[in-house]
Amino acid sequence: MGETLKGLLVVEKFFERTPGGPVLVGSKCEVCRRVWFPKKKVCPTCFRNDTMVVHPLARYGEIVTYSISHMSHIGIPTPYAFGYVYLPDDDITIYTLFKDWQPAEAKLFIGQQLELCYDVFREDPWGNRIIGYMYRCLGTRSHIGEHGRQ
Amino acid sequence: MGKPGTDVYVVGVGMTRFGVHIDRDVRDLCEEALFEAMQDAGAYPDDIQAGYIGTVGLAWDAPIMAGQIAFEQVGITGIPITRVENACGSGSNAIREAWLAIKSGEYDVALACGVECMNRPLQDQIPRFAMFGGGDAMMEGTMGLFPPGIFAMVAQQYLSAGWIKREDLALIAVKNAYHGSLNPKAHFQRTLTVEQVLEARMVCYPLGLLDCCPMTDGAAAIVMCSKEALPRFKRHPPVRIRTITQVSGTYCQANPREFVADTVVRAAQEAYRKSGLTPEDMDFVECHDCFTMAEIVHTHDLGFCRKEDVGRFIREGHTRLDGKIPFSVSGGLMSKGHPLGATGPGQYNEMVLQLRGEAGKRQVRGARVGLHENGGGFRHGDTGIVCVSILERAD
Repeated sequence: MGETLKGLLVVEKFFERTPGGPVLVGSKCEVCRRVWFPKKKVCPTCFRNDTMVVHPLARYGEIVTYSISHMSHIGIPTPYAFGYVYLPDDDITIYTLFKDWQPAEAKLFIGQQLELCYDVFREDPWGNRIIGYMYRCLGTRSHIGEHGRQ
Repeated sequence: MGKPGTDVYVVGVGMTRFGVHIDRDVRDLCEEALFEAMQDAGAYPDDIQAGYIGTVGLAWDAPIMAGQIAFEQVGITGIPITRVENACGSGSNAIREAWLAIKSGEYDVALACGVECMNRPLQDQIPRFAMFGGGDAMMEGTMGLFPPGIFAMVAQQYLSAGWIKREDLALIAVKNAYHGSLNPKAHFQRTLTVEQVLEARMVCYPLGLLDCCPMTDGAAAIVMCSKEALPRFKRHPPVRIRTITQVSGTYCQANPREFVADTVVRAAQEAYRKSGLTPEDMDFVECHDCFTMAEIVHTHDLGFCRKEDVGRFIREGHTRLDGKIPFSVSGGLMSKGHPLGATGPGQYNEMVLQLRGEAGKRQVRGARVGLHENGGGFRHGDTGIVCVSILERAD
């Protein structure tokens, strides 16, 4: 599940570090062009196993919805913010934790623009810090979803 | 032996009081519920041809052979007994499997049961269950998503769109607490005020503690039979199962612009189509109100108002006991409690008591047709599984 990197356990299944920053890795079907996350070998739309290629997901997105948890979740300090992010370039919505979300009144709103990053998001019961992907709040309203968003 | 396609009836119901039962285990809880259901039906162990049990299996004695262990308590051995796990919908899935088995003509009489122990000291599984995020541990559970957060995110969308106000959520908790106060088997038998709900400790913004169902222990069971076997069970007016539909989620990756897709809508529409009935034909609803926001979603997804109007619909009191379509008259998951696998059979208990006219102070006057909805699990922005049933008094 993870690999040791500078003393941290990294959940590396979902993302890769590149010179240009972290990227989330999904799959894209070369026939129907649909993107899936996490990676799949079979395209559920085409039902073929020879059309999927590894696909780095878009770095920018916007908040579809969100909440702030005040209830402790194992190893994650409270309060923490989480939600769903829509990545328009890939036409996909994924779950994420948020970074740089405070003050919440200014940073957390539906349509908030986000950028992919990675950070420690929890400690496991043995004290290992777990790195995962997160989306950083950029503090500006996205114009991506003005069309078609409910 | 029944006939393929036969009508199926509920002829016996039983359940423990839902609540905190630290000193009771799966076999003890099931023994009470199963015995009560069989007594209610006038059935004996030899009458039961197949058994089904729904449990998520949080208790130490539920992970394997929970059905065999439970049914043996009341002398039911030797017959096919099947355990079903489908998150919070496990119990309704057990009922549906029993219904299908009788409908196929294979059996005449079947027993469906659900159970969960969520408060026992050995529940070191509870934190791990929270990690599941309601269903998908790998993707979402490890990253902080857990059940209250799911409906908190739905609430944020509704509040943002102006479809509801924060007070509308509180009205659901107040209503279901009142209903629960009339139910001697409910986990909570206390009333609440809007102020108490709004001032409760925050769990997941905007949902506070009193917007959430409790951690409940309990068991519930129902005896079902074919039309051909019905003359053997005459203790109560028969309640016919018009249909039970089950759907799975399509998940938001397949519908990326929507969070929480149309799972309940699809299950309900299929139930209406198969039964030939409409929302206007329903006298009451038992729905999966695990959070105040969940009941608001179900109110429009089950066809009783438009999404845009749901806040007003709640404020006008249409879903109260004295309203035109009472919701969660048992107290619902919010007050009667939510012992996962036992929740669906517990809802069926309420449905049958209402349809028989035996629901006491919380009786819906003249109830003859009721709608039941029980969901479970969550992954990729969508409910994992939903069952919808329509039951009617058939005398």
